[in-house]
Amino acid sequence: MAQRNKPALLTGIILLSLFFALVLGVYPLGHTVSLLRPEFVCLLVVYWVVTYPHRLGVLFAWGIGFFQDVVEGTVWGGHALALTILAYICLLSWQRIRSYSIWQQSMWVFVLVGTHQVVVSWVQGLAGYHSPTHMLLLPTIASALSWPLIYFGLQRVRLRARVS
Amino acid sequence: MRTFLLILVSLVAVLAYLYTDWFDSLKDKTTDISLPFYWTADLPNRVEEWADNRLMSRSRLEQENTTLRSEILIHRRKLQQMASLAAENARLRQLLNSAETLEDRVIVGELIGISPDVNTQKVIVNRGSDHGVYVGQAMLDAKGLMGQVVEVGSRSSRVLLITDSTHALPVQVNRNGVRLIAEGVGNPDLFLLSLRYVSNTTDVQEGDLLVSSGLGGRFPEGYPVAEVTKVDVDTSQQFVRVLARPMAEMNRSRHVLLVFDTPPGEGPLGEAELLGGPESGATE
Repeated sequence: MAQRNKPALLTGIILLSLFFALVLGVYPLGHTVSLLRPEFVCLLVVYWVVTYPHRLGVLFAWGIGFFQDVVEGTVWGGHALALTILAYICLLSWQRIRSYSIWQQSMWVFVLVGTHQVVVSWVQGLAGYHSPTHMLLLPTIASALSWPLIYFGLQRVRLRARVS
Repeated sequence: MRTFLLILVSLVAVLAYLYTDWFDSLKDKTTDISLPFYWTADLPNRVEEWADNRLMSRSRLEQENTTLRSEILIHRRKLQQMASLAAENARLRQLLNSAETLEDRVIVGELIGISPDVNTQKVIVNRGSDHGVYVGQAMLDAKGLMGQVVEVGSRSSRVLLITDSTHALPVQVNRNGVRLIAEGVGNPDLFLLSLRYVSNTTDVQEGDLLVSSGLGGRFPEGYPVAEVTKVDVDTSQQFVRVLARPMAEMNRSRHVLLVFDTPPGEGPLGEAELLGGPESGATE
């Protein structure tokens, strides 16, 4: 298939996906259900950095993280810090991640999102909010399980839009 | 190298956010940035409410109408008593040479979002500085005190609920006037308050109504806050463990009231200065 380079379209797709991730992130849910809410923004940052490691990097992740902090009203810099570390790990390992099968990728995403959760909860802990282990673990499991969905969904979108 | 720099910047931001007031004016402005996200996320609820209003059957409307009518009747009766009590209260206050503060001005707001983080208990209200809302303003629902405004945008603001684990407020037992501090437990499932520093001899019982005492200067006086649900006396401990359930329906209310605690003539601006003045002086 002929793949053309359409930077404007690609930027649009990335921004739109992040908009939806943030909306899903603040969608009002009951307490028990919201424990199972995947970290959509985190998953998207992993996906986009692994897909375009030469164009998107830590600065992209930092910007998204800071914006997420502003929108969700958490301590500014918390998500930014976590996503920067995450993007750095992704930049070091994108070649390996790409060659994994989808479930191996999920396992890897589990580790990445887990790191993210630990960093964010550490920052929130500084602000006086202490989260029990299950509050960190359940969203991480949910994120790992929804990785194939995000991955195939976005691959399909990219294929349809013919952006490389 | 760049990663290291960004991590450093984030850490500085975190520390500055927590321990300095550099971001305080920015926080208020950015509340508006987040509004579209909450608004979009709230859209399904809005549509449902709209459809509910449109598609309600006639019989249900009539039924609702009669219940509301009888409710009004009951409230009118209470109001009759209230009028004489208010007059009596004003007379007594005049005897004591204190200002009368029985009437409060309020505006009605609507919740448009809740904090996505399970640990923090904050909500977003669709009223902002355009409507005169200011930081520190108290928020109520129909049954009791809910929280206080912590960030104000132009058309929306963020409210910290009284059950958040970083929140505490001065209360009074309605039965005997004992003054206490009610602290949020922060359990997102249950919405509970715990009372701090209750000694073994303090007269607090299960079922006692706690009202705001107005001592902190933040909350207006006399609004119901919580009902004591559990008094755990352990004589080996220094203090009694007391839990209370908020009167306000923390996870159900959609329509809320924001209270101005000055007479209507003075306006919200004088209010903000009044609140910010002594406090900023104290911190510097």
